[in-house]
Amino acid sequence: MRWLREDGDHFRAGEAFAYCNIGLIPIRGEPRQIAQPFLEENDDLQVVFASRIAGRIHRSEVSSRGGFLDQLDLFQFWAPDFVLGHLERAENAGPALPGPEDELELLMMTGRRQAQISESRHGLLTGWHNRYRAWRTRDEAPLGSVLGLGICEMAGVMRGESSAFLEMFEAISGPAHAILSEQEPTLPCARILIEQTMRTKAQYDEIAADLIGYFAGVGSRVEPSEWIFVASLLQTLRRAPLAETYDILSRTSLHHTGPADAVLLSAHAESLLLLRHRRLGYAVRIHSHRLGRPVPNAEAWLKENFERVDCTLDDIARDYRDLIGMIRAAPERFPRNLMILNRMSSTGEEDLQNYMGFDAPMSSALASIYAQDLNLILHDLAREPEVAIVDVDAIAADMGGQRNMPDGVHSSGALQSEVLGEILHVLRARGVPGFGSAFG
Amino acid sequence: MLLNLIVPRINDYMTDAIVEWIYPAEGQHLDIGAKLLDLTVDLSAAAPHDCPPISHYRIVLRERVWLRRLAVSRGETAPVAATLASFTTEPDEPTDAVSSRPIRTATAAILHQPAWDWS
Repeated sequence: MRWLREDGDHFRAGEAFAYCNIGLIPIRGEPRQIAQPFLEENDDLQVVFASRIAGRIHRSEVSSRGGFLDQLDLFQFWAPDFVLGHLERAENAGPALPGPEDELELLMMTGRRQAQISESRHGLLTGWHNRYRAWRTRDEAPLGSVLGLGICEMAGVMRGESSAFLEMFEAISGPAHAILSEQEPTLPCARILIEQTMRTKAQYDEIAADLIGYFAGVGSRVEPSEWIFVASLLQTLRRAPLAETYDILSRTSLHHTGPADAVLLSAHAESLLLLRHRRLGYAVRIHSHRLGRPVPNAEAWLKENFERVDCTLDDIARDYRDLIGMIRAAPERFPRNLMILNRMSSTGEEDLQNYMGFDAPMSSALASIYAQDLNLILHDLAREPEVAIVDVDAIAADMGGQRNMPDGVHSSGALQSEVLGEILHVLRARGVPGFGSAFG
Repeated sequence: MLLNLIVPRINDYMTDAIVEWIYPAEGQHLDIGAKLLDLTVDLSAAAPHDCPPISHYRIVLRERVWLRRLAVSRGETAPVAATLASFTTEPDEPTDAVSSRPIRTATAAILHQPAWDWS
């Protein structure tokens, strides 16, 4: 057991105060609900505890033994009557969360490691994962779910300051499931998501052979860290995050679910530069800061094997419509709701009275015009029943863009909280269960 | 009249800017709206940074002038308020006087075009 609060601390109803890593062992003689539960995720399966009432915590002296005895799931069996401590109800405690007050809220979470070796057990959802998720169940009630597929700006919104989804789950009633999928080094734009989903194993095998063969040819001149880049790229080329499904553990059951009810994309993943493999035809979009000095051989591989495709906003609009078409063609395989974070379209840093110094089309030159035109494309797309916009542009302008998003991408904690609130509002409006307010 | 262009404080957090591109040549007559320079502002310039906050800007002219002297070259990093270039309102004015005022310009954030040669 690892405590998030000190002995005697006050806590809110629903506020996390402790957690532990857990492991699963099969019950002898019982049939398995799932043959290999949490495959790729079992190393970092954790449970977070919260009270349904506000009060003060008094920790049991035997609840935590420190060191690896608390970090590893090997040294204690889960016993329902194990005493963590006791909770002193606050005077004027305010509303309680639904359910018996003497039963703790359990928020489960886990991550799929980028590689089994990328171990880091020092905290909640710590470590290098390519997928993070948290869920809270309530008896047999339907589990609403949202999948985040964005760049860094989305990670801060969904995982919050805690980096463990605690803020999101403290704000909602549940039962709900939140998933954040990382796609580094590629950008999860619509075109990449489509190709990931449609790619066959044979196509992937050919891509992998080509990529691995190139670096094998470079030999010992490849920096060890570049192999991590190559492995990460292969991971994203092999996966299809939109169609992924998930194991869910609750107090009473272990079951499989998916796909998510809603997917949250980011307009920041779209750019006018696309790279397409000259021979194999697949596309990648990679942040330029991931290339260059740290991975010179990877950059050389891209230059030798890919052609630059200068896209237009019409191309991006078509990619989004193709994505909607793919979802409609197989609705049982994909999230039925498509939500998109738009871009802040002004910074307050510009001082522009004359556009003569910028070549047409303006959207290819000026960042603000590009963002405004892209946001307009999203408004057109939002006429489709599946699509909703999360208006980061309006929220940031209202709160002050310079103060809360000085570079147009990275936002303050306050802005992240407001964007999260808007995401929850959109999920509720679209009827995704579980994301209602915690206290009704 | 002698006019100068300095590195503007585009962003409150910036300390310098990288000169990415210089459009005119010394001695050239420039009209209103002419492109002058493209700058990159990297707020993480002190040390390499994951997901660096990098922005790109273009400075364009708001008055007719002659470019008399460039004080920077492409790729150079210049601190805020450092002189970038000197201009005169007549082609043959002396340039050794103190500048009368800053030149009138407009600044806009532009999309980054990676300088990769894909040919």
